[in-house]
Formats: sequence, structure tokens, C-alpha cells
Amino acid sequence: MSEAALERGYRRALRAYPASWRARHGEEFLGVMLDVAAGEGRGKPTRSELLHLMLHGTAARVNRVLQGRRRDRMAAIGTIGGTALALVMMVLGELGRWFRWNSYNLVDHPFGAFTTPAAIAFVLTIMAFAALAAGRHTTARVLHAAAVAASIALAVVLGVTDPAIPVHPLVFSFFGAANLLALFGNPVRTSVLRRLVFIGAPLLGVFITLTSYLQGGGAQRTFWGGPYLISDQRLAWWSLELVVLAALLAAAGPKARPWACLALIPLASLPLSGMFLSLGGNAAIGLIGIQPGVFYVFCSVMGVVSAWVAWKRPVLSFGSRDARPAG
Amino acid sequence: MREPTFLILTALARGRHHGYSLLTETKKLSGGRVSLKPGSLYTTLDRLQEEGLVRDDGEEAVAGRLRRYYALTDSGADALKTEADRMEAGADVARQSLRIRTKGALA
Repeated sequence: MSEAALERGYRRALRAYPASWRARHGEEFLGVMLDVAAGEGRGKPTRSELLHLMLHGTAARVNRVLQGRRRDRMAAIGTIGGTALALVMMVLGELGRWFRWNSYNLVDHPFGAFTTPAAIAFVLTIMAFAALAAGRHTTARVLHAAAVAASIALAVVLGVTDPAIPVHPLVFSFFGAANLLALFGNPVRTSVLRRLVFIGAPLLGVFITLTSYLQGGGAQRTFWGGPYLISDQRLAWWSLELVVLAALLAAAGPKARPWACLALIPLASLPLSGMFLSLGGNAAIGLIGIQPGVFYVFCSVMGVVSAWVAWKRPVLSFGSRDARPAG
Repeated sequence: MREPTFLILTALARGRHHGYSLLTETKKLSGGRVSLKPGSLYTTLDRLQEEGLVRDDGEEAVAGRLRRYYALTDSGADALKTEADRMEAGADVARQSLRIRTKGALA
């Protein structure tokens, strides 16, 4: 193959990259590809080279819409949410039968030492967090991908069979979404994100476990498919809402961020108020009541304050002629 | 900081480079262990430019091929130094641990 034909082959492969990227880097990148081929004495592109270009071109397209920092924040949200709820589900749902009253026993056909096969998705999510904490990023990404695949497979399998202990499909929707988000970027790229993830995830897990345990009365049988307030379905639904809202906020660019704060933060009051609805007002335990109205007011105020802070940053534009254009 | 990023910043700390020379220099610096592909290199360069650690430093045409040069910024130099210090501290701890192990074996 002549160099002209080699160049044509590479130009075709470069169409995987967005037009703006090709306008900026296309010619120099082509030069590098041709230099590499000449250095290796090759007259044609290799299959792995073309696949590599396709993957990186796709990544460049994604990066155009969602820059690295925003993707990293979304990945942090997925990691924190997924790990926290996995811990909650393991304690309340899976391992609960070993220490909670009114628990499933062997005649209910639990899943080995656990209670349901959903434990597979929870364990994979927790292992991904542990791999991240150990600095094994590639292993963490593989485990997140495995958790996504396991969530989809389990949703299908448990949906068509009739397990003795039901797991609501929303649980798998949450873990599929959270682990997919975790793959969007590097959730621990900066020191701030690292602290947020490694401190936030376990703290949130412990906090939600304790508050859910108090509200659920400690009975395991009311957790899976139960009609009571704290059940797998409701926890998964509220967590999914919170993770999606947080991810949308993280994905918002500088211009959209004030509007995102105004719209999304108040909306978070709905799942939050549900999660802690019966935490208070119990005369027997004597806990402090947290009425839903408290969340509505608090989140609305936070939404306005956050929008103002996001607007006031000099890189943002809030539709005002005085603001500098977004960076 | 991942190793390819570290190697790219280290190569740029020695002077400006264009794409192909970055590929050869990073391979040389790693003793042949790390062989970056052009796609990975430019993904990393895009990110480093976004983060302000690397900047464009001119371009020229050589034998009909465009070469754009990249250089390390002051922020990039600081980031590289921080990472080098972190790795040095880790290496010192590892060597101390090995000395303790050796003393234990001889005792």
C-alpha cells in the first residue's frame, strides 16, 4: 500500500473523531500516525489501530458534550450512591437474616449465606469501591462493568422466575444506573473528589442504614417487597431519584448550572422527605421529628443560594449583559 | 496520577515535544515498558490542556506533515513535582520495610 493509500485509510478512520477535534488536531495526528507506521515499516493500518482510533474518537465525542471534570463528578456521584446503597442493602436485606428479628430462614430458600441473588450486584459494587480505595482503577472499572451486567441479568432472571423472596426491579435499575455512572469518568481524580468518595460513601451508607433500620423496626421480612415505608423498592426509588438529580446537576455546564440548582435541588426534597418520613414522631423511641415540610423549605432555600453562588462566579453567564462569557 | 500521564509530563519537563517525539520519549523514559498509542496520547494531551498542565508551543511543517509542539506549564511542573515527591516517599517506606525484613531474616 502506498503512503497515499495509507493516509487515505487513516483519514477515513479519523472520522470517528468530531469535526471540531479534526479541525484542531487532525493534520498533526495524521502526521503522527504516518510517522508511527513508517517507524514500524508498515504500509497499512492494523485492525487494532483502527479499533483504537474508533474508541478514542468516540471518547472525544463524549468529551465534547461532557468535559472531563463534569464526567468525573458524575462518576463520583455514581460511586458514592452505589456504594452507600449496596452497604444498606447488604446490612438490611442480605445479611439481616443473621441478626434481625422476624427474618427469613432456610425454609424460605435464601441465597446461601445471603438472602437473595441481588447480593451479587451489591458485592460487586462494594468490591469496585474497595478496588478504587486500593488504587486499582482498572480493576474498579471492570467490577463496575460487571455490576452493570449482573444488575441487568438478575433483573431478567428474577423477573421471569418466581423467587420465594422477591426483589423489586427498581433495585437493579438503581445499581445498573449507579455503576454505569461510575464508569463515566475517574471518580477520584482530584483530592476533593477522593475525600468526597472515600469518606462520603461509607458515611452515607452507615447513616442511611441506621435511619432506615430505626424506621423499619428491625424486621427483615418487611424489607423485601414489603408494604411498609422502608422497603427495597422505596429505598431504591428514592436513591435513584437522588443520584439522577445529583448527576444532572454535575453535568450542567457553567451557563446552565444556576438554572439546574434552582430546579433540581428543591426537587431533591421529595425523595429526602420520603427517606426520613417516619424517623421522628415516635414517642416510644423519642426521636426528633423531621417533617417533610422541613426538607421542602431547606432544599428550596439551598436551591436559591446555590443558584446565586453559581451565577456569581465570573465564568458563568446567567442571561445578563454584565456577566462575562462562560469559560 | 497514572503512569502514562506522569511520563508525558516528565518528557515535557525536559523540553517541548511534538506528538511523535512524545511517543518515542515516553517509551524511552519507561525503559520500553510503556508504549503509548497515538489515540491514548492525544486523549491525555487534551485532558492535560483542559487542566492547564500543558500548552501548545508552536507548530511547523516537516516533509509535508504538520507538527504541533507541546510544552509544560508552571502548573504542570508543580503537579509533576508533587507526584514525584509522593512516589519518592512511597519508595523510601518500601526500602525501609525491606531493610527491616532483611534484618529480621539475619537475626
